[in-house]
Amino acid sequence: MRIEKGYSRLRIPVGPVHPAIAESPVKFMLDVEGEVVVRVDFEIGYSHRGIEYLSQRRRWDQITYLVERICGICSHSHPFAYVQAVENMLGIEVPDRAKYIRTIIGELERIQSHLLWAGIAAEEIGYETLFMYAWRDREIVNELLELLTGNRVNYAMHRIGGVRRNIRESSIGVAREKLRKLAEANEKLKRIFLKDTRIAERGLGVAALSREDAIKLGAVGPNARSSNVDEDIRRDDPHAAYPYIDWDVITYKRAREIAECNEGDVISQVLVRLLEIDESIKIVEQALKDLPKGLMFTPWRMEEGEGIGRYEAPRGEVFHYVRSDGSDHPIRHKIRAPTLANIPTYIPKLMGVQVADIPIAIASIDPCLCCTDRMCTVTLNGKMVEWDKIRELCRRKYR
Amino acid sequence: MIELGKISVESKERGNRVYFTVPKEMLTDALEVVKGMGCRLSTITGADLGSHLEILYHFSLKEKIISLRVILGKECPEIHTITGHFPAAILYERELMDLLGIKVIDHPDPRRLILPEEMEGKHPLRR
Repeated sequence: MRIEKGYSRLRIPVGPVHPAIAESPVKFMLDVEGEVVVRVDFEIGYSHRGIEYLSQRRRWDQITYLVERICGICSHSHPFAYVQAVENMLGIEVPDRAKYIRTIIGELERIQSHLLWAGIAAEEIGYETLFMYAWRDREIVNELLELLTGNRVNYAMHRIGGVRRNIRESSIGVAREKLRKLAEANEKLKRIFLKDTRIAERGLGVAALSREDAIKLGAVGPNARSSNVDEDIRRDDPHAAYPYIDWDVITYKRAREIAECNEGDVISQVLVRLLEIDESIKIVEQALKDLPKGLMFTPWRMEEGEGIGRYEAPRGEVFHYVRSDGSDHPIRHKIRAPTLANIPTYIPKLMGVQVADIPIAIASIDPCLCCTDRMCTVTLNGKMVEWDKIRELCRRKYR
Repeated sequence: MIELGKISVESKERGNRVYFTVPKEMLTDALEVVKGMGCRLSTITGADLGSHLEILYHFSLKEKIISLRVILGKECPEIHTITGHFPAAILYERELMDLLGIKVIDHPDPRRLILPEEMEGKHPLRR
């Protein structure tokens, strides 16, 4: 500990395992003076699973399932970007019905992810009742996803060139009913987030991020939009059914009209996400109404080439690059998850934050480290343990 | 249509994706041009293609993705950092150093990103 001018500067490690960042391991080293954070450093890589390496050893159609398992919350976004990268490489045009089905599931996933985040944000500021409300309402959309795809997570809807499953006419009525319930639930959530003074006091001006910093550090997704950067891959790079549907991009400006907030602070992050739920409901309703009839997928044949696909995941731009030499396997598959682009924004965001606000400031960008890291090492008596040894130890234990 | 003039030696277009091959020494000039267009750095891809290494800098500009391709030899590959032009590149360049063992000169924070600090030997994405 170094004493400077009567202040003591302390280094607080937050993570890799910490109750406030329950989902994913990331280590923050925060220097504090008194109660205020003055220096930020972070370390990732605790859950690197080598997905890019694995992918280069799988067949093109198997990769869809592999990338689906990068993240449990945005399990539709990674395959979405991957299939689009392959389609871009091969120059395939996807049938309209498949485009609409992809859009519907993508938007439902956004709703469940944003509701999950709203719950976590409420819990981080100690408002557990609201956490329960948000997660109760999330059940509606999870049930709907189960009805449409058969799964609550890892929907397995994508295939290269189209989709694997159809949406039955009989489920559309039920879907509409559930969407109406969701819209009501979201209204209620917005009312609580706006009216409750506890939330305003914990969130206003906390973990703010200026527009200049957001652009400079390359922020993406709701994190960038809440700092007044008007970008959304769904609109900027027209794909799937988004160009045929009437919807708006929600930025800080819209949030500012509703409530007092600063660029990138917790309140504007909450509002941008809750307003995006409304837009997603709008998109799904229109897509269900206009769902065209037709084929489910286009056949394809692998060729040499390279392609890029991207999709606006709930957390921002997912970027996939594939390169083929015409064989069964890609020679390079690069994945960039949105959180890796958003992590550098922690430096301006955490600077000047009070120690008690660290959890909500960390949660405010909606980090998803399982997407970002994608190798872990195990040491036993100071030696690195190989995979075969781990398996043998497991077998011995559970025999 | 996006043009880089004499800076690029080869260009290719596929849908909204444009690829430019840029000689290593001309990279700074190319970065100035894409920065002037108002591009955002999406990510950096490094690839080992057997005979040589490739770095692709992907920039997004509305519906387009502009990729600058730099080809490097496999013996001691080195590239100058682009963090001066695009500060967002800091983590992507660390990933490049980790997974492919490409040395990034003048990088402001050249620690390991994903692999453990004490790890030695072959880089995981090298063939």
